[in-house]
Amino acid sequence: MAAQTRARTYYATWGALLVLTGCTMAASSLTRGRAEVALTLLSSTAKASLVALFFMHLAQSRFMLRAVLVVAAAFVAILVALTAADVALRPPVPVLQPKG
Amino acid sequence: MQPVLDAHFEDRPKYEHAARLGLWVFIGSEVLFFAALFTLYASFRVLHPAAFEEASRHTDFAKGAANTVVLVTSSLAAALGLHALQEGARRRAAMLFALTSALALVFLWLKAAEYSSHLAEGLRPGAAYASSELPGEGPRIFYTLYYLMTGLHALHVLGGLGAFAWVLWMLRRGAWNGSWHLGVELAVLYWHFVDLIWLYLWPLFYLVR
Repeated sequence: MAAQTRARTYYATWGALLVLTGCTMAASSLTRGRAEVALTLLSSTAKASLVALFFMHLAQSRFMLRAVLVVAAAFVAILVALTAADVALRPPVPVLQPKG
Repeated sequence: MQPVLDAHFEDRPKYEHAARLGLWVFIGSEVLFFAALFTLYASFRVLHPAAFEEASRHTDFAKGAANTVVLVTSSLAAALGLHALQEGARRRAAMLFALTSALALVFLWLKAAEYSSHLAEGLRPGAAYASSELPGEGPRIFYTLYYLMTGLHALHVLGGLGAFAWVLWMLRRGAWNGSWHLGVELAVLYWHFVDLIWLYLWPLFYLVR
């Protein structure tokens, strides 16, 4: 770790995480269906970014480490989204019946 | 640096860099592990949207929210503990790591209370599923994934407890100080990752309804 994070940064991160947790619950009770999924997951990603940047010190890490993590997160998103899209959009598989 | 490591690394920064990179690689493999399960969840949710919404109304909203606050706060305690140690305040660091461990125990206690009440209601994993209130394939799959994913996460919390027990033991023995605390740094990094996974599990099983 290059520079040392100040204690104040940790308290601010924690405060932001609690505020976002409250926002997530509010968003979840005010919306339904797809909007709710999108809003709560967006909020989770905001929280996860705060944890990674400040608690896990990615904000002060080497560029390569940050690049590796951003790319990894992008590939996880692709894996989840495309697999779910495949399941959602695929037409029903015709059941093969033996002839005769 | 321990004498045995002198033969492998030219200097301490190189050793520390290798150890940190090693933990990040471990975190990367954990991400793959959980990503597969998140993919499974997304696919089944697409197949059974209404059943998943109905089922997530039956998980314990209050305990889920409380556990989120508990884990986020334990992450703060761990971060402040490392900060204290970096400044040479070993007693304060030990107290903060003990607080981290206590919060991890609170998390597991709440989780166990949730499991036992769900099991009593027949909301069990796989073939053991026997809920008359939530019948059908969708809720059964939801609760199977619930036990699988939150259970796996709980095992990681147990692992974190083990890591902090080791940290506290080594601190007591005087193994670490303001300039040498790599093991503590890695344990804290792992703990933040366990917190991060929960931040995604929480909305998927407790909120999206």
